[in-house]
Amino acid sequence: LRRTDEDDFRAFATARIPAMRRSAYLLCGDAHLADDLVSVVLIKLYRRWRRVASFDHPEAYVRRILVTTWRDELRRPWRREQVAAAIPDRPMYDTDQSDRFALMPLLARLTPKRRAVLVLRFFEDLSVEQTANIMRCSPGTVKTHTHRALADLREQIAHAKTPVQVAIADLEEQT
Amino acid sequence: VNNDTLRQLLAESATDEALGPSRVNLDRIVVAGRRSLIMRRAAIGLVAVGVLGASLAVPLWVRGPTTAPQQVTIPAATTATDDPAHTGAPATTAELIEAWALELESGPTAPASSPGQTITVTVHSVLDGEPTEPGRFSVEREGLMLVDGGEFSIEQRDRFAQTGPTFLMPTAEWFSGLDTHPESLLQVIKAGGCWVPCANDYQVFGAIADLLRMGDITVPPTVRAGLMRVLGSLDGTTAYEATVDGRELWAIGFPEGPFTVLELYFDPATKRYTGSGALTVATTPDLPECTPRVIVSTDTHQNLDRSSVPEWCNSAIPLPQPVRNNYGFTQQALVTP
Repeated sequence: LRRTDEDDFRAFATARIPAMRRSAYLLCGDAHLADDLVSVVLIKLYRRWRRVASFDHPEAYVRRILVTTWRDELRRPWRREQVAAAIPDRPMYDTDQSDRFALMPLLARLTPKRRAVLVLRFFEDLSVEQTANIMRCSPGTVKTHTHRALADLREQIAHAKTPVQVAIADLEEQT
Repeated sequence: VNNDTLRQLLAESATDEALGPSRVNLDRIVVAGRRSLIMRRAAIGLVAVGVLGASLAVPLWVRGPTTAPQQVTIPAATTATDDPAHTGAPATTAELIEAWALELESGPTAPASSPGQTITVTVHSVLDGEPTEPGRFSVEREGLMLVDGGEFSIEQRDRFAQTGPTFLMPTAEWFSGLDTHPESLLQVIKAGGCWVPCANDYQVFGAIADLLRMGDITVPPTVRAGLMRVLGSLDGTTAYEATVDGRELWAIGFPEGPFTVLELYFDPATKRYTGSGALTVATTPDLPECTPRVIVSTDTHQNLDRSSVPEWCNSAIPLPQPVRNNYGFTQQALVTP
């Protein structure tokens, strides 16, 4: 890259790193891995920067690289044992955050696609169509994943034991 | 779960406290990105293989024992189009290429192939004058596909199943049937050395570089000599003897824009490929009016506004002495299960 392009890249990266770290963390559930993911995404972005910089919404492209990079990471054999492909039958007990609803362990039980859809739609606040574009699937598939992800969460919350979790579960039943 | 509740919970989960201090180092990313642009396809594999879980800045070049930025001189009159007929002048690129190619022809033969063989590639690099931790990755001997490159490996295997052996994914048998005449070799590279047919000399140079970086140990000496001649035929190539990290090497330079010359090194002692580098040959003007306004300044970097800087500030000013502070050496070992 020429120096001007590189400055642009740095400016973009600096502005986006905090948000990328949060999204990456919600996707993978590990702060260190999140930073690794962000770093890999930024290297990939650097390689394509001249092209990406001309896009109307480079952020959407960056989100897509983040999701695909994370999913590549899930495919690594030494990580595979950490990925729960299905929700286990046993209830969730969250001991260290008794007064707060601990979402991360619940997210960890979701399949990668369901988790990604939740993060993109409810953390990044993207529309169904934007999410579909990033996930490279149809809007209908996004809706299905969202529906099932929320159902999975509900099922887990139904087994939850902390007062706040129970309260939220009750709340959910009313809505 | 109610949508708004979920939004709130997600936001509460990704707090600064949960994330801790950022370990994302933009300077290292930029350095890795620069390397990776130069070594494009090999870099995909390296990034895929090595970055996560290990160190972030996977060295894309290999490092020698000691190092400092090196000042180098390229003989002025050595371009591929020079007329070698006149006497008394320094050897031209064409003369050097032919002499070196003849030497390479007597290089070591590739070890016999056996099922399941892999090549372990160890890369010692110097990046911006700083030695880095050695990087290591493995490829399958037949097809040079990454052993553990995640999605990229799957992509490579699909590709191999579709196309069979190509310059991008060569096998021992494929090498043995190759016509090593530079013109036909060039056609083979253009057709199958890139993921889509190679579009220009820059991509041909990259295809040759990638093959040698990963699979030089499997390349028959006549093919290596043929590749040297193909390199010599590319527009803008220069050939010169270079001292890199104290080693006397044969260097093939290829311009990448006005600021950089990419280099491939061959070792006269082993008559094999040994590494690659990049020469900085020009810089932008260092004048007050070319200094951009600082938007943000932190400990590690600055964000600069270059929009107010005139366009001519991006023009290339040739350096009196080119600087080589990015280079590396590759070691390849065949592993037979």
